Amino acid sequence: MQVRTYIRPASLADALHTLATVEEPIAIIAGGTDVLVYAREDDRYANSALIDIYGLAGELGQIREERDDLIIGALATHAAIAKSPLVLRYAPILADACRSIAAPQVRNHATIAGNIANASPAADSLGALAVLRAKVGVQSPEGQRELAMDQIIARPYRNNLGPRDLITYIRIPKLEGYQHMFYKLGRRRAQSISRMTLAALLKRDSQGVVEDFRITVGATFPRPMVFPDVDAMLIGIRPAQADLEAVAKALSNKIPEIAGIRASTAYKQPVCEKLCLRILNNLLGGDQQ
Amino acid sequence: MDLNTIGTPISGSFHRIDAQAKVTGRAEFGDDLILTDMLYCKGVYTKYAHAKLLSVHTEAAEKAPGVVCVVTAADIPGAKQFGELYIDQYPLVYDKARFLGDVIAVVAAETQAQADAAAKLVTAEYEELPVLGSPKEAINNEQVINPDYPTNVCGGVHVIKGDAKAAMETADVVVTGHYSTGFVEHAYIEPESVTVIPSRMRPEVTVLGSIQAPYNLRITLHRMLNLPMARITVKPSIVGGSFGGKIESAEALAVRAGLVALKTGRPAKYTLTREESIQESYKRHPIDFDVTLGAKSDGTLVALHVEALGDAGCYINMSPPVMYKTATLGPGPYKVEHVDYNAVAVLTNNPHTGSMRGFGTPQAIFALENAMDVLAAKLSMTPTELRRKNLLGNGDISPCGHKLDFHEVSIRSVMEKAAEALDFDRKYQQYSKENQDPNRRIRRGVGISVSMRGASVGADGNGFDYSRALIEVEEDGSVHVNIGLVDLGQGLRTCQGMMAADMMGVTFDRITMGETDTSRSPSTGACIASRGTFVGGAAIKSACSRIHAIIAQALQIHYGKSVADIRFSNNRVTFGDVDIPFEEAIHICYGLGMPPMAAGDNRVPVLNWDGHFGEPFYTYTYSCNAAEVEVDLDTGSVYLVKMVGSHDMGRAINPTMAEGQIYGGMAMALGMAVMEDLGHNPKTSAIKNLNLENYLLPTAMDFGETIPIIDAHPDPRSASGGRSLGEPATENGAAAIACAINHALGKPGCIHQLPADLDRVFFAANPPAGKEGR
Repeated sequence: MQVRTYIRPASLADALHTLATVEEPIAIIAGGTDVLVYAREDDRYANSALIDIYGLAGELGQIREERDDLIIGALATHAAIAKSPLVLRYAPILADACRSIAAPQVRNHATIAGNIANASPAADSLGALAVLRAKVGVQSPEGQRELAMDQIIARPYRNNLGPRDLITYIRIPKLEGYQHMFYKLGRRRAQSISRMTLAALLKRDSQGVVEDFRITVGATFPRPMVFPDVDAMLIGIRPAQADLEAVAKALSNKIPEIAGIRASTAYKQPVCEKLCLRILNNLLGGDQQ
Repeated sequence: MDLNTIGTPISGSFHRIDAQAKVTGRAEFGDDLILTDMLYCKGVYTKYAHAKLLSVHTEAAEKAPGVVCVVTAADIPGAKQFGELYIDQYPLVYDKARFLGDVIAVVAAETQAQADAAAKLVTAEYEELPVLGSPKEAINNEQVINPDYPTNVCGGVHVIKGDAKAAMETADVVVTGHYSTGFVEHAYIEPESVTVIPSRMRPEVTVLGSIQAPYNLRITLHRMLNLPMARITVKPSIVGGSFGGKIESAEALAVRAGLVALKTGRPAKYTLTREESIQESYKRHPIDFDVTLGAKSDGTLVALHVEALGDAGCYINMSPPVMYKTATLGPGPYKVEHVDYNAVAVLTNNPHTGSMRGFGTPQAIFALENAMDVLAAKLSMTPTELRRKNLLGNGDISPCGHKLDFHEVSIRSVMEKAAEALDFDRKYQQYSKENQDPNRRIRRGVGISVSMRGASVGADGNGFDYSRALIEVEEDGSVHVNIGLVDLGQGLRTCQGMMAADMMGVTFDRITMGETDTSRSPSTGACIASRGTFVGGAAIKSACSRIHAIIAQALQIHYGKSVADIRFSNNRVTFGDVDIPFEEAIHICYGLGMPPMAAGDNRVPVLNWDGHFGEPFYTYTYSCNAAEVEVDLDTGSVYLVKMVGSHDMGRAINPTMAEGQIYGGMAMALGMAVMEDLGHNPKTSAIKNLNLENYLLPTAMDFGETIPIIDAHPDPRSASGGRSLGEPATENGAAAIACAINHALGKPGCIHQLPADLDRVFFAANPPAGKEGR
């Protein structure tokens, strides 16, 4: 791998200082499971300063509570998230998504912030983070801000972060009493780039009336999407089969609407509809097949 | 029990002799080799799949840091082409580029990084030619890939037995179907790597690396580099998988690195990246089949007519012998009197296609077994009922006219064992019934497929099916065995050692297997065609017999007694009232100036086959795969719940390793059946999926339960009793999986194109409006 300089900051403060002062184009590396692969393909980092923050896991790798929120450090690995008691309790859909990524080697090494910053449309964590209404904490020499999931990514493999921005945490509002489903459709059962993912959260009261519902499709759109109009279709009602079918239709119609008609649409749109209906039926304890 | 010191080692599950070195990382593979003064090579690929090469500009690369030389086809002193049977492959483009894996120049530098950087500076001028991206387009096209084949058809085999056309008229039921398969990559875990070391004394080279066929490689270097064969020594490194793939692919690298080595006088290493390996290595043939199969109303097969069109890619490579196996083994292990099987290969600008585990049969079995299921459904029979009705038995005539009266024709037993282990018949009924329910979105299905596999090459290879081994018994009674049939990772060397121990009459710990070295191991055919154990065992047996004769002669002189009843067993030599340790007998030999050494040889008898009757092969392995799948109708995804591979390989020399072959064969079959796809573009002949991130292979997670079954009946035509397993282990697996998917979908034969990936299965289950599936 060719780089102009390689810098391994000793602390977050040191990293922020480096980001503020370094003159070369900046490439930030955490676990390296994407960057090192790109570096093998070409010399795109040859003139860059490679800032390796993986050593800051002590400061940036923790998973903790902050009042009503779950704070996941930027450098938490997918494996750590998948087995974190806090995540399993307050955001189990994210644990499921993280468990579905790649294979144990990658899950043990790759970080959640890296998965976000890489901005792959097929990144498995993004759909779960979107329905969780996660916010991404970003620090830069100018200060700190939080971005929503549908704001942080511009298009495939392009995030909206500036060169001196550093993701430091993910904030997720704690959820309790929700049912969840993360479904990954791949061409094989491990080491698989997703063909499509579905992430759904559902909360009903004791009468079966839906209090909250959120659903999205991943590996399909240029960036993580939330669909308040689709979500609203179930909220406040006791859904009948026709309502579920309407949601499935509406969700799958987003595919040609947003991504346009592509070669894959003929497959993805009906599959999305069928999977959505299956997931809703499962969540509502209806038809299992 | 210590297997190493018991007698009669055959059929013991000995540890592989290379196991420790491999699991501890000490085994040296091709690219592990580092020599003082070594140069590193990098190839420059053609920009166009089909183009006249007008000029190559290497000046800028030659001036780049670290570059020592750049070679092109103009530097080749001898012939410009090589090949095993057909001499038409260009390791460096001479007149025109024929596919995107052709190399126009090779840069050699002090480091790999320098070679990689300088290779980008090589430019060329081309005159583009139209690209022929499919056999249908290429046949009779005015663009000709190889002027010796003006129609672009480069070979084929037409099996004609009886009169299929007339017989088809007498059938009560006739089914037809079109089936097609895609390119399949060998995907050996170790990409190709070859190092050529020039002698400091004279024009001579030593070649190391991941090489499947060292003697073939020697011929190629001889022809192209103008060196006497005696001055070319080939010593394959530990090979990290080959599956037929490291024959011509390794030879092309050896020619390129050899030019560098001879030009500079320095060792030259040429290692491919995964992307380069997929770009330039040959593949399994995509084949299109039109199958017509007729039967009486009781299920008795009457006639089979198949037109098969294979994509040879840009070089003939092994296409004609591949078509031979398609046509002669494609009709399966069935009694069918009237056969018309025409298999033709066509040159295109696609990656060339050649030897790959199965060699033309996985595709053909997929086509035939699906047609069998379609036929069974039409006759209201189950898949096993129809097969039971038609399977060959002892004394029957094979579809290609071979009277099978020389060994146990065990395919019935092999199939029944597989069916029983899967509980096929019960599951077939149960799932057929369950799948009637339209609300059941995840469906189960079972499939079964059978095959007979000619051991070693067939009648089309008459003359070159020989094998040799050199065995020397040292003064201490230890035995050194040299054999040029290379261990490709399947454990062949261990099997050979076990056979040598058994045939010499000593325990396994006395045997040392030499690494293949063409200057020590006599030339022998390559480890191809599932022949390594079969013909290797015969050569070892021949050498052992000759050594026994030397020992007997020495003992007769020494004791002055008849040795007519001499026996060699379990480290003892016995005759008359004499019973001495093996090493004592050897000591006597050395004392008399008669050190025991012998070259053993074996020739498969000349086979007479006339396209209708005779012996297309010497003997056969019988195999059956049974598979159970789960198919999600809503996504098209397929999960292999259970798979059984049942085989009669004559004898399992090492049962544990035989089971390993069977597991691996299933994995390869699953890949071909449901996911492996090069992303080939028939317009440009380009490949999209150039690495293992995009070219998907099954992982351990993609398998449910897998069960290997060894149903062995020792073959009188084999020195060891063993025949073949390498190719049988995988050849009919994809067919069984496809049949199982079709059963789950409730539509026999509806998956007619492999791989049965998400899209294909989804659309088969959910036909777009107005396009109801077949």
